[in-house]
Amino acid sequence: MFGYITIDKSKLNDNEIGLHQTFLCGICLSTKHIFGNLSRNLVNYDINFLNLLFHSYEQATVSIKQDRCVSSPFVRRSLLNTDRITDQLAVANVILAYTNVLDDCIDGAGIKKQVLLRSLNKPYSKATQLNPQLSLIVNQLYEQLREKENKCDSNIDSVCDCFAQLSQQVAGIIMPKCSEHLYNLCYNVGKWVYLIDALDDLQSDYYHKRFNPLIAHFSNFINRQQFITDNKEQLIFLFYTTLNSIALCYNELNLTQYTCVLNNIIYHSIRDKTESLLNTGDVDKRTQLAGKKG
Amino acid sequence: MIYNPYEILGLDSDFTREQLDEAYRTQRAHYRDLRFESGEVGADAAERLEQIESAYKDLLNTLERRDSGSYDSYAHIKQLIIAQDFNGAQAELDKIDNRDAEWHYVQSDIFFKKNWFVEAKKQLEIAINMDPNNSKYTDTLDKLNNYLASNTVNPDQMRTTSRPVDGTPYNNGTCTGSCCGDVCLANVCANCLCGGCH
Repeated sequence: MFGYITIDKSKLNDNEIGLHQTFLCGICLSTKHIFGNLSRNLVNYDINFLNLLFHSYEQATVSIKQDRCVSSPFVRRSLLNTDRITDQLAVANVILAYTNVLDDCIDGAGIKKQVLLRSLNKPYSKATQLNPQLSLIVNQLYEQLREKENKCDSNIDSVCDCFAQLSQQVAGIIMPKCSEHLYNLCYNVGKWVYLIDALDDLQSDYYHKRFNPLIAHFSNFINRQQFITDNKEQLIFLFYTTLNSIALCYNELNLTQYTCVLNNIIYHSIRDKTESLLNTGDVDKRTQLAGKKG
Repeated sequence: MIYNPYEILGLDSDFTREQLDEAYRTQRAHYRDLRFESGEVGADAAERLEQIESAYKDLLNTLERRDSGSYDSYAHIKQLIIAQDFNGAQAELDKIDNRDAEWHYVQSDIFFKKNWFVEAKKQLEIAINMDPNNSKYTDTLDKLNNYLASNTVNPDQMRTTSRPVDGTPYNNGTCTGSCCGDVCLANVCANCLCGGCH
């Protein structure tokens, strides 16, 4: 999870933006209670999307308290009281984050990532104890992904499958009554995150000779702008089948709670982000950075 | 967890019409009364009843195809796809040496159900190349290109079924599903904004 699933604040009122923030605080609190303060930095908007989605799907009763926290030490803010879903997502988030950093380190990441990996050893070990099943599956999926990346697999559906299954498995394990539509929704959300990250990193991946699933698939990279222009039609197919599948599955769930925020993400934010990257070809690093943590 | 009509009605893939009707009646009768129970039991039963209806319709269609003589050499694979056993379906498909247009169509279906849309499209195009006059193939490709892959469709109107999007009894357009809950939750979240979250 990379923090791409943000809200489009321009299309939400203050109350709705506050609702999104309140849920983020819920995961952050769960992370603090289970793993301590340091791991709170791992909380991102992608995992908060699952938080809102799962609460809505389960129609879980939520309660909110007013309290101070580390990012708002003087003024009380609304915080979601932790519950089963926030706790389990906090655990899943630590497992996903650790495995992602480990994967980067195996690929030869620098000293910063090595230090980060060491600092995550303890939280990861606890997370593995709390959810050994998820930990095992995530490791297996990353291993499969590494194999495909090392082979420079050009079958983009196959490469995306490993990453897409990560969020799908999180849904399957955390939500005991996960329906087919929720399962497919989470799969396509994971696939979109993997693809948008690849689109975002086209130039730097090419420059640093890192595997990029889009370059491997289309194999005609000269520069970012040219690549997008040359493959525009296929890129639209690739991205919009995923985005529309997300919308379709979401509509079929007939959710009734937190739909103001979920609609904003599914109908606007992720589509606009895709459109923007496909049209301008420019990387909006500010948007990406803003998505890491509220 | 995953929708499987055979599992829902407790039937094998070689079921008969009598067995289907019997299973449908029995399952429906069981959950019909339970749906009025309070709490999770009632909610589960209501959800189960919806699944039973869908499973019954799907298996009726399967039966009709089988009885109308359109029972083809891929029927068992298509049943595995309906049962969401994609690995099983792929293994069976791989055993077939004669790869005609229908083979590629079925392969496309497996890819599609796995959300592998690029591969699904490739296989459909091969099927159409081999049998250009088959409207089933061309219609499917047309839907894939002009509906699922479209960047101009309205995402809030996308459905697999013909259920109305607006005016469903469930969705009143609020955040929490109830106007009262919406106001309460929005108020506390508004406080959050005043508290300097941003």
